[in-house]
Amino acid sequence: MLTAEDLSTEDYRAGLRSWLIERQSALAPYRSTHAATHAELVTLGRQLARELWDADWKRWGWPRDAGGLGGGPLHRAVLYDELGGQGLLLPETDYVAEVLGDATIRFAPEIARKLLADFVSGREIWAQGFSEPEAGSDLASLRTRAVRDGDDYVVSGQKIWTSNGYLADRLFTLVRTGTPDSRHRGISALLIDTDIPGVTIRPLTYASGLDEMAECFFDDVRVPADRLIGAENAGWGVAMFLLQFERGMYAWMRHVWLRGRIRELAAQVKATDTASAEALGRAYQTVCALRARSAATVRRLAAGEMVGPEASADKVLLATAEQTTLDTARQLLFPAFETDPAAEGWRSDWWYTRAASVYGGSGEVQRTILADRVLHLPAEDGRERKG
Amino acid sequence: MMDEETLGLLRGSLRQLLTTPPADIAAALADLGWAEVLAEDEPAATTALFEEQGDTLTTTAALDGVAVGTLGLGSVTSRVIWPHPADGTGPAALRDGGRIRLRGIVLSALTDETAVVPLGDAVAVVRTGGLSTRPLGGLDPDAGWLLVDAAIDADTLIDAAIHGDGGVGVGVGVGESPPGWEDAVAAARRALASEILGVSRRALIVAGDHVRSRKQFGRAIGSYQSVRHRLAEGHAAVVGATALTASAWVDGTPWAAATAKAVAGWAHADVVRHAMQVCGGMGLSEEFPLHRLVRRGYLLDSLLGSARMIAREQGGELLAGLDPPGIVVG
Repeated sequence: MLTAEDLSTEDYRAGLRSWLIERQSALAPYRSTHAATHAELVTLGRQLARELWDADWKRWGWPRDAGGLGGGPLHRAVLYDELGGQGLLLPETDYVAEVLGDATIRFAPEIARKLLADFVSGREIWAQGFSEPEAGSDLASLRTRAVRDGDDYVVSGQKIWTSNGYLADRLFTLVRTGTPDSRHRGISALLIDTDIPGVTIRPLTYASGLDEMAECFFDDVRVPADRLIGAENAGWGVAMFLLQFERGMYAWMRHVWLRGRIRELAAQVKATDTASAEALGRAYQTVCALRARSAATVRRLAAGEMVGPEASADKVLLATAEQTTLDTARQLLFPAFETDPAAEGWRSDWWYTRAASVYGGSGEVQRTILADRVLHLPAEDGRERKG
Repeated sequence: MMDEETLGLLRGSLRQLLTTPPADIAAALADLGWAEVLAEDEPAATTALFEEQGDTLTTTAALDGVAVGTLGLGSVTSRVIWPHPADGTGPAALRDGGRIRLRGIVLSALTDETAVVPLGDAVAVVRTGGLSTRPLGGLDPDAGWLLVDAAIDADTLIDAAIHGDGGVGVGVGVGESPPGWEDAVAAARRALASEILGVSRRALIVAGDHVRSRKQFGRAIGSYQSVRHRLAEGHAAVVGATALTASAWVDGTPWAAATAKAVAGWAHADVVRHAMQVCGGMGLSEEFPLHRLVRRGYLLDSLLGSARMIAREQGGELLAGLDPPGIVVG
């Protein structure tokens, strides 16, 4: 069997591409861009993930200890690029896997060894339980408590805005193990199975009608202590590590999706006037900037570098590209966007892209990070900042 | 590939060279060993040169060297007559019977005997002896660009047709397809993107310095969230455009170069919109440096297709069925 050392990303790209082209008709079901329900889209994605895993393409990029064939994030980035290039969807579960996978490998290798392959191959679904009703962009104020009791943690509290939450087998959560006012010093990362008694999950419907999110309630849920990811009270470091992947790889995946949307938009728009052309061209260009920047970030992550506060620029570029593209779709599809029942996919995506400047640290938080830690502007409370 | 330290040294030398802008940039760069630097790492060297040129608001004819080098005409001439901004990527000259109608821009006085000009679908080398120029004026007279606007007898003007137009290739082997104007434009657009980004970064620095020192209501204005967020947004735009310019080198296609130049132009527009607001009245005064950066960025954006022109062109191609190209990112 080939090892990662034998298979450069370019050879991987070439092999994958010819495989995808050979199987064009078998892969046709994955060409659809809008499923009737989110659950359907997730199911489609899981089937695709499974096919790719069984054919080994999806095992590249993950360590052998976790059921993969070696290689790293660059192989995965190529996989998504090629899927998008062939007009195929990206598995919904992979958006989450890319955020949680590397953190699990780094901070809980034993859990990764046992469970990660099932997640990455689409056999099971994990979701990310970070936000709470009172802890959104100010994540360090989260209150879901986990108290050690023998070999278990007993978890009580509530999570919200959990993507894929009501479909999930496991929740990758941040919980408070320190004192209530311990902020980021008293947070731990804990993987909670959703079939444990005391876990209740309710779907939360978007303004668009999309049923992607959920709220999760924990009522004295007993979680084995070996499900800790990282040390107790070291969860903030896990979250910061993982956020780098959200800024890098997640943004890369979204750019692939946006490129597909631009392709579909261009095919649907009948107008040929210069104003329409200019708007579409500009949207495409914002996606190109996102592509270039997120590629550079993924390369740094693959090299094991810590990306740090500059990654907030990636998040700003992501929101710009998402919102510019779908705003352009709204304008160019006038009046179908407003009046045509068949344009529901565009409307749903338009709503979803509004979230790009909210989730994972709002646009305001990203700009504040850049102002403080990259541009070194004076602090907001007015005191002089050094350096 | 140049390492960080070598690149830092190179930037230092370039900065020093540009403090007193040399009349003959080609000769000054040659003294610096530019040919060897380019041979070692052309993308890094070109990016450094043009970012520094933008940062220091220096004008030279270095862009001519980029195009001439791409066309393989370094031994023939060192200058270019660029298309007028109204004409995008050109041409700058058209045949009209036995005469040639020239309308274009030169970046500094034509002291060389010859210059490259896009002529119809071809590239030609013309004699510059009979050509009169006058200052372009307009938004950024400090740039020193000159307008060439003339109708001249073809026989006296043309030195050699290089590519297309049934001309004889110069410096091109038999059977080879010589690099054409499209390639020269692509190379120049990558350089212009870097220069625009050098201007933009300097505008962010100027605005950052201002908001740190300027106090209102007892606080540095840079401590107000709206001010901080404007500059952060400008920074993000520059970061994206810089990454795309680097990718345009890896990708190598004219399409990628066009995209990079457009995105740099948009980034500059974003940056100066925010910078001018946070610099308040100072930003609008003659003595404060910001207006020079506003002017230069817009002027550079206008050459070889503005951000808007490129967006329109690319959007038109997408509407006509082109699969949205995924720029090669290396």
